[in-house]
Amino acid sequence: MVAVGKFVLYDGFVPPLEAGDYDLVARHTLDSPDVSGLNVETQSSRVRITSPRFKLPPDQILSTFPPANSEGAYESRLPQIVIKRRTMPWERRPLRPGDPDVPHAPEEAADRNTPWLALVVIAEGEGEISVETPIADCVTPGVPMTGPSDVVKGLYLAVPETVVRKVFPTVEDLRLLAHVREVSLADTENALGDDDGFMAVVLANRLPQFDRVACKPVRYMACLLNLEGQLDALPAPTPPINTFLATQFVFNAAAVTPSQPVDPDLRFMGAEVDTVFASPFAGGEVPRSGPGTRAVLGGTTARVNAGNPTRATAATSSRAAEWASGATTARISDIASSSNSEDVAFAVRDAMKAGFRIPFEAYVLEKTYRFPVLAHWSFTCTGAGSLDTIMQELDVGLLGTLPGPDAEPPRPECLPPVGGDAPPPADKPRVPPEVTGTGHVGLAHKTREGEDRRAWFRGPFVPFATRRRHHEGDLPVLAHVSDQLRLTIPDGREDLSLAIAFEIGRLLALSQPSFVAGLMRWRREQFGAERARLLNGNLGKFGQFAGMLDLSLNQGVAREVGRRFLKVASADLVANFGDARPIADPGRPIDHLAANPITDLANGLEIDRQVLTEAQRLHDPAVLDRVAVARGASAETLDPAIMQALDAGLDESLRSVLTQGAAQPERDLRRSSEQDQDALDVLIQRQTERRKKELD
Amino acid sequence: MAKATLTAEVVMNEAVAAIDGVLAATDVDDFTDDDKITPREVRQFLARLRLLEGVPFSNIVADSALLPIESIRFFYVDRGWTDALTQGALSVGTVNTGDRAQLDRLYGAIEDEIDSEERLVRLPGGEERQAGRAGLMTGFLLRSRAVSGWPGLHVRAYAREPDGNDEEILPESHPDRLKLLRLERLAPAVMLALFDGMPEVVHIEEPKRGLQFGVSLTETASNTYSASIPARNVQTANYVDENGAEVETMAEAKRLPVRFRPGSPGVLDLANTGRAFLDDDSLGMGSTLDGAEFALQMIRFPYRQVFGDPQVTSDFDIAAVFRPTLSKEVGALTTDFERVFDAD
Repeated sequence: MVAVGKFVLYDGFVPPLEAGDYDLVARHTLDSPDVSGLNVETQSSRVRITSPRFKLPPDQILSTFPPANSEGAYESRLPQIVIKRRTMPWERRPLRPGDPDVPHAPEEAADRNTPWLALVVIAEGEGEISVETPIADCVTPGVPMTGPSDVVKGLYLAVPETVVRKVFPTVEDLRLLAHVREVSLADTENALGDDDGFMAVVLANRLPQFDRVACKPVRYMACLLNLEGQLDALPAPTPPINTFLATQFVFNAAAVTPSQPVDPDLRFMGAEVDTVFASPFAGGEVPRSGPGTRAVLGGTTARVNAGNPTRATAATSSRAAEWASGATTARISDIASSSNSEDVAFAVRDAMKAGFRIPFEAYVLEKTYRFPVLAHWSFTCTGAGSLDTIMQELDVGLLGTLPGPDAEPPRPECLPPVGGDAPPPADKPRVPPEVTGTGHVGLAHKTREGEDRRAWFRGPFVPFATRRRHHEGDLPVLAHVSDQLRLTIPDGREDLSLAIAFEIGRLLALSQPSFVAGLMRWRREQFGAERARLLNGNLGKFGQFAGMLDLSLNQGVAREVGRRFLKVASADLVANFGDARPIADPGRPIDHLAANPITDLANGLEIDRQVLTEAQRLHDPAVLDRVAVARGASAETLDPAIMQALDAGLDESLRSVLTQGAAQPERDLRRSSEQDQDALDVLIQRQTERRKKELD
Repeated sequence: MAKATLTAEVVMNEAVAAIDGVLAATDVDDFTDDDKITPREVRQFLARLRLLEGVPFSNIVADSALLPIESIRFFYVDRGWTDALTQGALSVGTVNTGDRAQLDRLYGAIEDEIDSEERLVRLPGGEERQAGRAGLMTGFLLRSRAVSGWPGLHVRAYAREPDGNDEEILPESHPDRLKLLRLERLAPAVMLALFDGMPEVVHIEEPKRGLQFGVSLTETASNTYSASIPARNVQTANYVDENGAEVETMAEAKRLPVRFRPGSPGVLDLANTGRAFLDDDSLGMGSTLDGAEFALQMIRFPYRQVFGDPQVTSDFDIAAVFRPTLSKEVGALTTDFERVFDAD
């Protein structure tokens, strides 16, 4: 395993078998001296090794450089694409059996190490990216594309021979442009989300260049191309040069095609398009591409196509076009955010391809080639130089350093000097600011009296180390209003820096209701917390609360004190509140009855003493039901109904007396809030039941 | 028989005495379990305010001339200014004299807590938490095409240059490295970085999006460019100098020329460039050229700009700078200003 931050480069991983269809044939031979004719049937099966051919699945692309739809000074960097599967560039043979020979590099073409993929970078106008096209039309006519395909429709890049010759890699170059990188999976920076740490990298052979002629950014499209069967189209080696002229012209499709806006729909839906647009060139005056056709040198106007003087590029001055690419990028972003989600991928891709949609194939005289595009993305090279030149040319200083008197905002070197009918540079808007060595800036200040004065202001960033002045007693430790921080300095002016800072802080705080609410809550709690703390201390001094109370801030103090108080108080009621009062006060003792109440009662009621003793023992007055009570003689004369009522009343009185007499003094009346069923309850229950029966 | 002794009067007296401020914790630090006096949301807001979040840019840089196009400006952060900022924010919560008296008592503790909270605003993953009192805070403002064209620039500040050369990267918790308190693009082309200390060197590095391949371009004549790459020994991956000896840094390495295809700006002639590499014995490339060796030569590490010691000029005598003599020139300036403003 590779260590984090390290990587290993491999020349390539050539799979033992290329993509395609294979027949597996198994033959078995049996021999025996004794038996003849031991023939075994041949077993054959078909195997297909798949590999992307016209479209690279998106999950196979780990990263691209420059990032898609980005802008930057990429002049010194080679565009690249990182592919997840390490064998991808070698899964097919670029030179298949039967393909035309490659005269200038026969060995390299036949070498298995030569990848079938190439990353080609073309500028706007150098080629055309197609819409979805049946794959048979995705290659140069005449090149066979047999064998299984991964998709039915694909994209192709159409380029004239000039562009192939100037921009495409040579067969010899191909090997150098693909390699395999192994990184640690733990290195998120380099692993890019890979699963095994191995990834294939395909480089482009072209450094994107800023347009120094028109002095404007250039949009480039990087296309991963399938070179199968078309190695012979690649350029032959040329003698190398050590320097290149960045203003040299490659090709401009816009210069050879008519100016009418070309609707790709028309082109791909109607065959008569050719006759519509071909007419300007009917006289055989087809302009040839070449350095002359892009006569935009000088950055102003040029007449390229005599038949069509209104060409868009001809009328655009370089200064106006300076921000053109920014607009394109912004438009693509707009499309990305405004399209509905189903179409967005298509719409964005389509917008990115604007400028790569000029259908020049019908108009150029030279041969054009088509290469299947497996993946493509566009980016913009916005300036000469690169990050290092930008960084090295930075004006470095401590804050408070003013630019020199002649400092001009930097402009691209290639811009023509301001002159002619261009408006003169605007006057400097104002005098340079009044800046002191301490970083203070003099600013106009209208005092509260309405007087126009100048005051000093310094932001939080200063050119030297400062001390916290309130720590040293120069300033109040804590200011409550901004005026406390207004300083008058020796020159008589006011230094409002800190007062302004205070006011900004106040306004920022007020602008956040949640913060204001937080402060107010805190303020309440501060008082609450203090009260709680002090109550804790004081309550702790009182005997029975000692060590019991621990009030914390989050509980409401009053509620908490109440709860704690109840808890403490209820722990020992007798100690805290004294003895409980008895339920009933005892009556005045009657001496002559106190000695033997049962006997007295039995005598008084004329019943057997034994019955009462028994009832007391059993705590059951029901025993009395069986006692016969003597009645007066006149009882028979009474109405039976009245008699019955009197009987019942007597029964009840008797029982209530007995029940009171048999009350259990040991019952804890305080403890139980729920009543036990006592004898009286039983009695009442029985009587109720009896009544019910009688009424029924 | 006992008797309860807590009376309403006792409670009232103590509640009134509560204004005599003593600190009460409202929050607990998640990591250190320390009690915090300032509630969490207040603390976090004030810490972000300390790092000037939300402060209008015109209050940070009072005049555009202080930060011209294509410039980088280093600075110290004036703690007095940021303290005034937090005091202003705290003043929102005081309503009456009692509140202010209490805030006076609490302020020292609040300030200490915000000091330690500052370092927690930006906590990148995989880095340890740092604690301690707030010290010197420095930083820079960068206004450049580099900010708009290279989103995601890496910024690292070192209290001591790591190992004496520019090619080292130390983790943020390393004692030689300064914690980045804030790194933000304030505008498409303006970047603000705040460091927790005084850096000796500051590295600004191109965003790493995987490895990149490329060359160094040099303009040899008008619009004519040549390109070169630093030489490496492909066996050891170290740079080699003119004498074939291995060297540490890219700056000491020999430059290998890169060849181009005639008539095609920017298109490399790889085969011929590669053959030139093979001819150079010090590169250890053997007799045949392969893609890996070629890629190794062409690897470009992300560009890293190193800013050295920004020439500390301390100990300004404020009285000397704010001398009344200045007011004479100021008078002239004022008329200029008036002229300009009248013209508007």
